Amino acid sequence: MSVKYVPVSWTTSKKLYDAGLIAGIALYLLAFSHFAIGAVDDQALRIRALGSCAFLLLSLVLAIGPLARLDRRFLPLLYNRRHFGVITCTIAAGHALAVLGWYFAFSPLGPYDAMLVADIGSGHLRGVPFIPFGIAALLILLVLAVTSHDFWLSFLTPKLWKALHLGVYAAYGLVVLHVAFGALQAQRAFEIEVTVCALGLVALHLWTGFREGRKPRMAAAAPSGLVHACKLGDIAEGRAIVVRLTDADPVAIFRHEGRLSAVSHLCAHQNGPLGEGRVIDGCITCPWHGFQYRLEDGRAPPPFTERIATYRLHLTGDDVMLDPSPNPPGTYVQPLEPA
Amino acid sequence: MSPPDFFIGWDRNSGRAQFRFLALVAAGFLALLAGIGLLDGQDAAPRGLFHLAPPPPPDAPIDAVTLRGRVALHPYPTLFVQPDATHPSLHSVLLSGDGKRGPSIDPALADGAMVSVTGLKLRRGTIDMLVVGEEVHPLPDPPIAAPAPVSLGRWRVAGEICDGKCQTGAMQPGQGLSHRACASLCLIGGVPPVFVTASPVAGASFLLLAGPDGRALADLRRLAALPVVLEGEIERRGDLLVFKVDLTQARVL
Amino acid sequence: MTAHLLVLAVEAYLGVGLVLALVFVFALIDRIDPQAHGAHAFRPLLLPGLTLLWPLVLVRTLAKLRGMTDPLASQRANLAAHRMAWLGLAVLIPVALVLAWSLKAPTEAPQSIRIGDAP
Repeated sequence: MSVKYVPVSWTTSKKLYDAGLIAGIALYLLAFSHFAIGAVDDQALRIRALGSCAFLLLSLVLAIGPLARLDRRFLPLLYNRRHFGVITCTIAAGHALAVLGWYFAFSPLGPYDAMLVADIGSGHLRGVPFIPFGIAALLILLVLAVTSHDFWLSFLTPKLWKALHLGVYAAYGLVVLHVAFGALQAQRAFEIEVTVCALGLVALHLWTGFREGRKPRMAAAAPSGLVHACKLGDIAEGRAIVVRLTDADPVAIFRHEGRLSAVSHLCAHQNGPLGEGRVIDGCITCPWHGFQYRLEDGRAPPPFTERIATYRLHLTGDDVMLDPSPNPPGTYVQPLEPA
Repeated sequence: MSPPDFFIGWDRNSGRAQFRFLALVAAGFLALLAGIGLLDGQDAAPRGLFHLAPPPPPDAPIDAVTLRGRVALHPYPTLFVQPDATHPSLHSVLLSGDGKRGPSIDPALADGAMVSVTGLKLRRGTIDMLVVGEEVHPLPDPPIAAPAPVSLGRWRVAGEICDGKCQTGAMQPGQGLSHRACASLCLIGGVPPVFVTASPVAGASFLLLAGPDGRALADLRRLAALPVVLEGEIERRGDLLVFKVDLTQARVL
Repeated sequence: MTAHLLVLAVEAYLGVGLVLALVFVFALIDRIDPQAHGAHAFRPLLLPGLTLLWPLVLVRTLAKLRGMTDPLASQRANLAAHRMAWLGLAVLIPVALVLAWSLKAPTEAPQSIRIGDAP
């Protein structure tokens, strides 16, 4: 969105968001350690507090996506999700450092060597080394955290960036294995948290995926190659309908001041769902991060430089017909004006 | 200017309904984290898979003491001190070094030599350990008699292999799966392995492990901190029980 | 020994990465991304990522310097991967939890028994 990169483009919402996150984490760690019972070292307590907190945060941040699909009111949580992710990674790294500084310290070997040689497994399901799962998960979270700046989106392209960041699901699976063979074997209360969070998250994602999968998809009709997108009256002023194609990416058809324009449904920033956005100040506005594009050419208003693909529309009576082959991003297309 | 029902991060005007919803979500988030934090902190110390009694906290402050006695180098460096009021038979004290290391022993020191060692004394149940920071040197004192080994026969015993140091109180918890890698590291470093039994053997729940030949065991990493059944001869030396096991017969439960 | 070599290899990888990262933020980034012109405060933030992912950075930098245009935005492959990921997790997570529960079930410890005289 910025013309010139800054470390963090702070907004009031981001500050409030981060403050809420940090307050929640502080409350968790305080409640955990202040009221903890059992004869346990402070260091071991810190390891447990940070580890269980990181698990909870990772579960919550992974719930934001499907919640925002199910109810638009959760979209503001998605707006600053990257900060949530970076903070989660920081807590997980704190857990790892606490382990390195206690369980893998004070030995004739260095802590990293010690981590690699100490736990070799038992050849039995009991005693499956659980630490490698944690290390792999943390590595993934680190890669995601260090590539969270907008520079990486533009450098890697949103497609590759997204593919890289899908790694978070692998990280979650690894974290579940890490706790299943590790902390769950010793802790009872944590077992409740892990079971509820992990199974709840799976259910939430499956339900959301099921609902998304039921949305109709359209195929181009031979021989014209056009797709019957909708009726003229289906599109509300200032909004769009999304045309999901069977063998191509979805297209958004907006109505602004009575005229129709078709653009890619994918925002150039993070591939957010543009067609669920609105026309604000004469520009298509993405519901995720507020990136804006002109209707007629899919270009962000100057000084911004993002571009999205545009599409051609035809009107046959009352039927809006879409040519599903995209124009190069930023191509001018005269908006369709119904007679 | 965004419409009231459409949130734009960079626009401050997000509508009252949305604001109320977010305030509710934020309050729920804070309550959830505080609540789960409270719940998770209520986990007692891990007890391992046999649910062995959790080790009580050290029963005395850890003080530096100096002990004189006869050192046995095998299976693991152990000091035998003369009986006194609290220990009617020859009293054994396992030796370890700083951190996850065995004690540093002068290579010239002969098995059975008399030594004086200063260190921090850890005590847990019936087992004592001295953490010795300095190298152990011989004394010119007249030797005290070696404890005569008394065989208690061959036993099959269930329990958990722990490192003698954490088990005697250097760490809390000093047992259980989450402590497994740490215990393995202590054992690699030369801290004596202690078998914590699920049910007592001749009144003791802590046995010093040794190989069938009475020497130190090779790699114990595969079996540390798991519920295992071991077989071998148990031998009493002073007030210490030594369990001479053949690890190839070990069975993970 | 193997463990130590592995640690050394990781250190070497990160060392190479850091050198390339510094070259990237000082010399290359302005030729690759116009939004970096005149922007300096954000550059230190890139160093960890450039260091960690230097082979990928190298490939992307060469593509950008050769003026290759990026393909059209598409999310179909990622959506399919997303679906597969959650179907996979829907199997993996319950299996892992059931395994954890069954492994942690309290083990009945056999009594210590004397099985014979010493040889």
